[in-house]
Amino acid sequence: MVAVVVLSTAPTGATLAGAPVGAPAPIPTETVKGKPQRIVSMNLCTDQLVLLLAERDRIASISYLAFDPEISHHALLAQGLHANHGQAEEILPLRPDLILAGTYTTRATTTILRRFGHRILTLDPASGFADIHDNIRRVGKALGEAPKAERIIYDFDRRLADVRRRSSPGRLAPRTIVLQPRGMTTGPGSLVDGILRAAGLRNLSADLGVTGMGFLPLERLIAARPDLLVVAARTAERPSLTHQALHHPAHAALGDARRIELPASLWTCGGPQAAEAVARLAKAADTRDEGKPRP
Amino acid sequence: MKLSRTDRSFDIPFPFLLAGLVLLTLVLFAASVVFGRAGVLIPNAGILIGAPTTPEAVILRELRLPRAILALVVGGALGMAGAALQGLLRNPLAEPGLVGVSGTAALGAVATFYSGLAAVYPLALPLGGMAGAGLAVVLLYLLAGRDAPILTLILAGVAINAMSGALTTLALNLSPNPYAAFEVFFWLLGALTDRSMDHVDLALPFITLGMGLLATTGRGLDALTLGEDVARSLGIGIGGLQARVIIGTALAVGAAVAVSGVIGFVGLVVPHLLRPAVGHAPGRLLPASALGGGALTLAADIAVRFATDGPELQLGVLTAMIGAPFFLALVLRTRREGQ
Amino acid sequence: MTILSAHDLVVTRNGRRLLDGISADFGPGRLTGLIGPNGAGKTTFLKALLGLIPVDGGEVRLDGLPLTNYRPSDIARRVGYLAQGAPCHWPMSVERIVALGLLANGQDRRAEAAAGKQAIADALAATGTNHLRHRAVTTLSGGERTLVMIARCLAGGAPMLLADEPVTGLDPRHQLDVMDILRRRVSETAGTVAVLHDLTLAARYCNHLILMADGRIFAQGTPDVVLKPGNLAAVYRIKGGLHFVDGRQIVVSHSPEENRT
Repeated sequence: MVAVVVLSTAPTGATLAGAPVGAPAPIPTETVKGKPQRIVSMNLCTDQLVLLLAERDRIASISYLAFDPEISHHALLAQGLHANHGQAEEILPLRPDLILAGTYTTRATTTILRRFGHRILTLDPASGFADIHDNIRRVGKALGEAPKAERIIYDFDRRLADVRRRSSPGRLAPRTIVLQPRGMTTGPGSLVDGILRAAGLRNLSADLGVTGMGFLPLERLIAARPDLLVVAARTAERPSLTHQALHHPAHAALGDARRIELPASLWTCGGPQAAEAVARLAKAADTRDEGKPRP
Repeated sequence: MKLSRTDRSFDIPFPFLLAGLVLLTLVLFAASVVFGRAGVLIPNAGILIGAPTTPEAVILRELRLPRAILALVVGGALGMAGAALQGLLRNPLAEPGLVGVSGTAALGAVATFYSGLAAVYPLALPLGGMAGAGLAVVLLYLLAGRDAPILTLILAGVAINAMSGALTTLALNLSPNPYAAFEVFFWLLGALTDRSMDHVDLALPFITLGMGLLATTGRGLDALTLGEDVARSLGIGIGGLQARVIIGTALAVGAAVAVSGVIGFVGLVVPHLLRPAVGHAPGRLLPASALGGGALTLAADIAVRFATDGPELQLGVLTAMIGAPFFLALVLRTRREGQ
Repeated sequence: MTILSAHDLVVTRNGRRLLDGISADFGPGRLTGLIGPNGAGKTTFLKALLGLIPVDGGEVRLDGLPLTNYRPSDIARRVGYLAQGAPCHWPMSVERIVALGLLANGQDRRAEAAAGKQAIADALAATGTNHLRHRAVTTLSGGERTLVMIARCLAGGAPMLLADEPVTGLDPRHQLDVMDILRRRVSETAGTVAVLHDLTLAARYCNHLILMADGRIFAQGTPDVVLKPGNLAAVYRIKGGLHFVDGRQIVVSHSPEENRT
């Protein structure tokens, strides 16, 4: 966890060589004291938390990806808001008093905005449930919505506990592989691995030596005979080779019952929606035949 | 074009040469089925008949077999189309990839695939590829047909390639799917990884038809050795010959690229290696290059499986690494002989 | 017996009349020399006779029927063509090049393989190129190459042979060899037409000459009729004429004609 909340220093426009004439005066001072009123988010995952925690009229802009229901859980909430593409020229005229960004995306933009004296919160991608707690809490605090954040965390934990309580006692953990585009899969040390374990599934990728995000040849996947295949569900017909590969007929040869389609919006970003992913996976595992142990 | 000053002729009787190439191709085909990332799998009758029930059967029948078939026919199409284009243009550097035919075929396939058309009508994918390839061959023939100097051919190819590459990238950037933009490399440097029998079903009929058409051009291409006028005086209908080469190339290369992306240089390397063995006769070069193209592509497709530990190397990357130095050597030789 | 004839032939390119109403017959028993200055339309005439270029007026007839009635393969069986410069794009062996001649009569097909082999052997023998049969054609001298291309024409067995400048650029010995072969093949059933620049060779080997100028036929007939000083002066603008030295014809050009304009 390297993310740092950077508080704005006094605006020193003169330090920026060649600052455009008439560049917006950064940060109206009155808003810094209370809750931020002109929030900008430049990353799909920070978008999700902002949409969840802040009132609509305080959100100045979110990333264009937040409007895509296939990957954005709160796409409906995003409707009508201003969209940005993570470029400084778009952000500056919005006169934001808080900017949220991913640690690894839009780095150049973040650097520039920081030089303009903006207050920026960068967030690491969540690689487990602890990170989800952490991220919700940090964003809540920055937005001045700490109590709301705690409420969301409480609901999230309760939902996970519900799933644990309801799952069939004593059932074998189905051996599961999560299929990502380009033959990638996720092993221990990833959010997806956490979701699988919380749902009472066994991440077969780990047995095959994958840690974090790793490559698994299709041939080895089929030879490993997984009980369950988890793939991203499609909400719209938007062709790509990677998705075509996720539907290779060789998968069908394993039997349709073994395939679970899960909306990518539930597990692309670490947020309370991960509990929904856990619930759906647990249900699928329960309704499926008993996890047959393999020789 | 004089590319060889040698008096030697390789005295391999043609039937022996073909038999040897068939044997080589069969061995490589078998190897392509037996070796893979899941280890060595030997197919037996039980695996090949009835519904696949074991993972081994699924791997062999749904992954390795379609892949081997595609390597064979895609490579065959590229080798044969290269030989045919070289015969028609009387130019040893005419190659479907270099002259932009494959690239334009990829553009056609990309247009039908990412617009969603191919999802509704699967046949749209090879049809798009063939339309693109056909357009490029016609354009090429208008720009560099009839004894044009090599430079003209290469420049025409550069222009067609630049255009089709840019438009392919544009089409992928405009695609609504965020993953699509990363797929440019598949189309520009093709691969056969994880293709399925569906792809075989889509491409095989058209490739067969195209190669069948190219197979009828042997006499005409032989006669063209003596120039267009003499060929006509020998009773060859030049218009029909051109049409058969252009349509045959469009069908074979277009359908191949639609399922494999651009696999370059096969059509350059294979005919060049085999030309001395067939006594430089363009007609005999056609079946020999079809077999040789299949063999080279099968071999390269086996190599990419084991070249790295991670995701497989793109097949088009490997053929380019083999082919590009070859191409440079050919250009140098052509330049020397031109002086 | 194959007879090729031109009737009031007109060929126009970019508004220029390359052939301007030409009529002539070519048949067996004749070695016809097609002579005339550069740009007179000799090559155009030859290509029109073969149906290689479209004709804008008049017509070519083959055995009394318009050439356009024939399929290319039917023309190929009757009329052979030796192109100027004997082009060859791939370094194929001499034997293989000669074998290409068999495309003209279908003897390249499997059923005719034996006949084809014999035709190749005969053609190589007739042109004295048997010793070159395994050489790559691109390694031959210009003279050897021309002989090989003639062998290719002979192998096809077409009764008529149209040769475009067969001896241009060859050394004297090869010139004589080529003219010899072209004359020897003339018979009761076979004829040859050759575009020539060397008037001495034309006079000595041909039994019929056609003198062309500006797309028209200026004179035709036996060499002694056509090669009169008046004709040479009018067409070539040279002072010269046909002489005999030791009983052999020689055409001597003494000096350029003065400009008469």
